Amino acid sequence: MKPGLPLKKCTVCRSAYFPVRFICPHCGASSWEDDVVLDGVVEQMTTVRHAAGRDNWEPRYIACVRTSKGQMINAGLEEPLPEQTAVLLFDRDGSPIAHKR
Amino acid sequence: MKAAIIGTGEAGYVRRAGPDQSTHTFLRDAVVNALKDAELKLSDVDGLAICSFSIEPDRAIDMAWRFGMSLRWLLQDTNGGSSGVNMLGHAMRGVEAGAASVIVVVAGDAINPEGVAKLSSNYNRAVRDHVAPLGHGGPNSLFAMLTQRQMKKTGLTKEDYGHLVLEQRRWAGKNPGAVYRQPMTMDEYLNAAVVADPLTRYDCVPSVSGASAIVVSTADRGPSHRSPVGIRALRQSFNYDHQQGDGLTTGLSTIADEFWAAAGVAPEDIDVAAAYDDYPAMVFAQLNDLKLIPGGDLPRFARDVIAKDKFPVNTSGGLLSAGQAGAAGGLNGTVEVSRQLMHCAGDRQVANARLGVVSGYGMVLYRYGACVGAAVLERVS
Repeated sequence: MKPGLPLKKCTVCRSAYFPVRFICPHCGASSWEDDVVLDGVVEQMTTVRHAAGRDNWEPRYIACVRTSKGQMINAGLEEPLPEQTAVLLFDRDGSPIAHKR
Repeated sequence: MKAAIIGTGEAGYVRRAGPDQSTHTFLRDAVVNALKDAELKLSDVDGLAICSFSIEPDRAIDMAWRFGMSLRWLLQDTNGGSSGVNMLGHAMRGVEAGAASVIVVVAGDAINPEGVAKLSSNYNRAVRDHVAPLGHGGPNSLFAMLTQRQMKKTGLTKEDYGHLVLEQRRWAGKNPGAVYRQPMTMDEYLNAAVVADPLTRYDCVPSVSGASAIVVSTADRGPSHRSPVGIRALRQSFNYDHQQGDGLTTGLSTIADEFWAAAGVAPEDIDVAAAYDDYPAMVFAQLNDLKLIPGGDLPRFARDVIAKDKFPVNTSGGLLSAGQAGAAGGLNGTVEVSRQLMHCAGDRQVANARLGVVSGYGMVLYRYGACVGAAVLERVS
């Protein structure tokens, strides 16, 4: 698990996105450079207590996080965190993970 | 010549498909039932539109072949909960352009819970790569957080969602085709098992097996003893906010004014509505975007209108009680509103229904659905 969540930043208008886009919805450009965001704030959180079709399900914690660069992302939590909790972001094989700061 | 819906059909709507049943047989039976309802023969059909998550490796042309259809118009739709309105729009334009004269629109699936789990984890690249590995358990978690946002923003309470769920269950009790028909109390709703806070069992659509179909042609091709259903207006929106909003407002908000102007009627003229109800929050969102909720006061609408049965919404029971047969969920509302306007809705018939609205919503790209569409339907005299 790597610190920070990788983003793609438009080389023309500097808008940054996660997940990646192929054409910038803001300016229409299609060239990108790598960027990273390190932290954010929990906006909502839910505990997934049941999932259809999955046996031996253990509760999972999913949050909507607003990153410090403005992206709204879905992130996994290792523990329930209340709204407005400041979090550090990590990349786990392409999936965002948030830890309490 | 203007297009019209002249027949409807459903098949299955069972909790589990039997040993001789499959997606293909349900789709077939819905097509046969719709043609029978329209009093047309298979040889009359020259167009087919189909949406299903589970016909692979077959595609629309394979289904046409297996259905014994020779066609001059063919469409395969992939837009999930908005596919019904999308296909209706294409079929309407196909008929009015002369590309086809009788188009069957059909959608359905027979997917077991394991199949639903697999589908929801591989819905698209973004979900597969960035959301499913978190253990999101399907879209419930995403709409749980959306519902939290809606409650905070609008003042809707858990009981308010319950009013909608209970009312749809009451309607389902009058629909022999609904899978879940037994009456539900508010206590049962509020005390149901939590799936993903704040969503409980009855806030999440039950997956069933079946298919739904409509026949789109011109009004003169329909049965002489029954009024066909015209399409006064149909508008759609796709990816209007790039997944960067809160999901509480859909693309319907961007087309509502043009939609009603094209229809030549006002929201208050509508007699019956069907809004795609994958979750109760999205019913309120769609109805509000379409200006069907006076003053945008969602709690008041839930308590004074829905709870008091002053405006019929999702009279089949909706997906929450009739059940969601996969892609058929996108067509359920169109079938139901058409039946209401044909005055063939049985015990749940809305008296003197002449104008109806149906809206579809679907395709969770990353955080919420991105495809929406709505149509104003009317009873043609």
